[in-house]
Amino acid sequence: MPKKLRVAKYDDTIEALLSRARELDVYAIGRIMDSQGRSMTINNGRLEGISTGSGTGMGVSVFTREGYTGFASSDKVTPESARKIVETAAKLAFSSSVFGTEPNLSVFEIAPSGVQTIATDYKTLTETSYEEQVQRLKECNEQIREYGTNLSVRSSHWVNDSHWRIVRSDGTDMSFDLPHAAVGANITVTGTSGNAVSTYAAVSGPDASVLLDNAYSEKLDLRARKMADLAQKLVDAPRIRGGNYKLVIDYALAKGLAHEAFGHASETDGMETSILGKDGKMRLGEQLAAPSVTITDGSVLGDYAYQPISANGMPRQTVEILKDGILRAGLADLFSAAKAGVPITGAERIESYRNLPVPRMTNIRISVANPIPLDTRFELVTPLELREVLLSNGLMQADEQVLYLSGYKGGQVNPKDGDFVFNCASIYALHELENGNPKLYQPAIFSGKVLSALHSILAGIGPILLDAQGHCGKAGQSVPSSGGANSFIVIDRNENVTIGGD
Amino acid sequence: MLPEDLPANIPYSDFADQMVELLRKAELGASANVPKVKGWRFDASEGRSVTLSIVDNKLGGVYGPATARDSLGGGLYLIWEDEMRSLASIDRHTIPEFEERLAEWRAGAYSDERAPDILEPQPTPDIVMFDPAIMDIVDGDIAELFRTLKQGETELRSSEVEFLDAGASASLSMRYLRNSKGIDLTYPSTMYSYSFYADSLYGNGYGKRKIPPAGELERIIEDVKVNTKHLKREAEFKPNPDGCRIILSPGVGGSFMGSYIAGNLSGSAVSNRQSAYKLEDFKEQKQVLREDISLFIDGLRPFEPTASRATGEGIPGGQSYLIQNGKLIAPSLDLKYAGITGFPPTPGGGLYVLVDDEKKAFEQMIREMEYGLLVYGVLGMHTQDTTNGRFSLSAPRSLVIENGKIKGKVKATISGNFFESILADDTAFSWEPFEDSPAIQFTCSVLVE
Repeated sequence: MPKKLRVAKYDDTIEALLSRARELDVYAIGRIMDSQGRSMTINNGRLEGISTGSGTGMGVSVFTREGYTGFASSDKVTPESARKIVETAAKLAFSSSVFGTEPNLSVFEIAPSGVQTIATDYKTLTETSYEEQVQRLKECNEQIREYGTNLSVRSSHWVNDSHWRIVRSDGTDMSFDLPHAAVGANITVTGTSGNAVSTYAAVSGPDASVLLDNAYSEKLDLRARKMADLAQKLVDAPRIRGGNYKLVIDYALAKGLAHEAFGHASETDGMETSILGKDGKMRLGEQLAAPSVTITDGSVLGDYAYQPISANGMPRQTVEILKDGILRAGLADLFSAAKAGVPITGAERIESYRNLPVPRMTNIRISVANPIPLDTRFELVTPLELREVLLSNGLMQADEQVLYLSGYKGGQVNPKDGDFVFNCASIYALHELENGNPKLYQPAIFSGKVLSALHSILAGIGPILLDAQGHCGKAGQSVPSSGGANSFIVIDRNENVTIGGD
Repeated sequence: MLPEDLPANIPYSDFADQMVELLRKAELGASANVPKVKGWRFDASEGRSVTLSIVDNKLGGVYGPATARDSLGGGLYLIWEDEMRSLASIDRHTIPEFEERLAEWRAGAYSDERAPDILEPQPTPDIVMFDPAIMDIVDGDIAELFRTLKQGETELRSSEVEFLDAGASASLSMRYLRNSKGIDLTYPSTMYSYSFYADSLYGNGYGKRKIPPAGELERIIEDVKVNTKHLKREAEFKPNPDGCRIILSPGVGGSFMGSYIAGNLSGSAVSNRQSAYKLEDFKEQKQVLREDISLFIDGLRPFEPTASRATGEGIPGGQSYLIQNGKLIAPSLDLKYAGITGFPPTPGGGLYVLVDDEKKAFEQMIREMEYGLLVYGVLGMHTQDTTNGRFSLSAPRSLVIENGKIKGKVKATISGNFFESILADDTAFSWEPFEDSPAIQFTCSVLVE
């Protein structure tokens, strides 16, 4: 049964906000957030702490008839405060017009989204037992510490349940919830030489089931076991020689590639300087990747980055940004879609009521046509098995240099020149066998040019997996992000894709 | 108590007084459904800020409009009479919903035999952090923010800058630190900042608790102009396979010191064997840096963003070495980990790098370099495993230096081990007058695209 949303109680505040905007003859977009969260940490078997938090507040964007804009926010959610922040935002909008700022009239050209409540039925925090969470997190922590000698393990678990209400002067009134949760473990091992190595394993989802339900905990266990084993082996692993290689990346790294290397460049607010834009318009219809490659972004119910409605009160659409290698659409918000020459897709997101909406991804994934089947569960695929799949499918010659990059550790991109970097947890040289297995090297930065990397995708291996979880920082705001790809993606050697190393 | 000589329009509310009153009642067991509270502390800030931005050349447009924000938030720590503890965030709704929140805090209470007690009041330093000249801007007179950004925009766009991103902001906040043993600290602070970032290549800015001195804006604009110009000129670089000399600019050098050295000084990480440094290393004062390098906490610098009268737990601001003459002195410790490790708690303040007898100017270091790279930005620092010192980073904004002259930009990838680099005899430091961190020169592996 869907939740009753806490933002339903603010009718008087909404009415005050909209009526004050009418009185001042300005258009308003109001956003109320009511957020509750809980987090806990177990460090080497000891409970470090439980923290509870909540945050409620309201932000309003105001537009004059000429399209000048101002923004104000407050953590007081009352009719009086609503009137006051509309007045403040209007004053700022009118002063901006004096200083020659650029107007934007898009808000007057959209149709109302109506009145809707989209509520999930995931567990609320009041339905979630602290004791059960702590007990289970302790068990997980203790279990992971047994996966090696002298392991130090910090396990953390957080659950957040945000409720939102977005209203506009055109009568739009959208309410929805954004539940998300994760559990993760930092694993540190110190070798005999004194060198320390840290690795990380995590699973994510909508609520405390990420910790308490078997399907999730089994996945976490497999991942943690793999990362504990890796940390111990990495202590004495050598560094890879830097250069250009044929690469195999796992789906979490492929999500990084899609997100950092391509997703940000497809956000329409940056089209005047993005590599996917020309003279401010998206380069629609151009072949920008191998013909087998499709990149999709869209909200997925139950996903860590679920977002059904945009921060401007528009339905979030699933978008095939790249279809068969051809650029088809952008991640477009209300204010920049028309200028970029694409339809609005409701891509605006915000971290908090204090922030301004900007277009960004939710769950982004790369799919490669006709993937090579793979029966083994992702967490159980070994580097040796991967090597055999490549050899048997003609994607690698026995003497060919191929690196397998495993485990995503984050990345960064400059959409204006197409430079991206991301880092992995480990590198296996599939061409270099040591005791019958591909040789393990230290992780190294993977950097390159977006379009070169996408043009060089040769194949996908295995089913599409969507749960690579992270956080996306843009415009000083961090929001949950996720995505994936086929279990593994093969990228041809390319002089514009570099592995950093000695 | 609030100092009496402050302007009347300071956004001082009775939030702290009301919180104290409600917590005192909780000490007496006023709520029937939860045990009595035995000790408490809270640290809250109430503030206003105004901001204005240039995004992709658009001043005050839809992605960077003039904005005004009001907020109140902070954290709370409770000790219940049965020694259970609670940690929670607090906000403006905590007071009207106090009974409900108290029940939530109790539901989330936990047992931690190593958790600290409430701190007795101690004298706190009286550091200047408030500039009354910022008050009018925060109150809505944002013409100064427009003028600042407009001047930067006009001057930079008339040079070779094609796309400009910039921001300016002013803020005022009141801090309320209270605890059940008598800490009662209330004071205002201000902040003023602006920055300019040209063509996604180079940026610089100002950020202190006071209005900048005359000429500061012009200095920043000139710096952005000159360095953006350098970074627009392409150059060639032939890396030596045995290693290349590189200079990390002060910003990048600070990022390396912060991530690899300061990042491993956390008391929790040291105590739980999740750091490069072990607790025994501190007890033995192990040499981890060169003898001329120290890391120093300083919370007493007037108008600096890192100035601190006290931490959220009430530990007074002050000065203290974490690493002195290259030897580990103490981890960075809150009350809990001070109790666990036996070292004193760390005073509130910012962390600064000190290098003995090294006063070389940044410009001189560049002039003296025969062949190498000046690294103005790296991508991927947050992805590095800082516990082992290894780094592998993309450095797409690196300037080639040849015989002391800047030749132009190359895209490089740099890799090595910072723990080893910082110990090397030929690693050198230099200073830029307006930066807190030194530039660092050392040898590492370089690949050029």
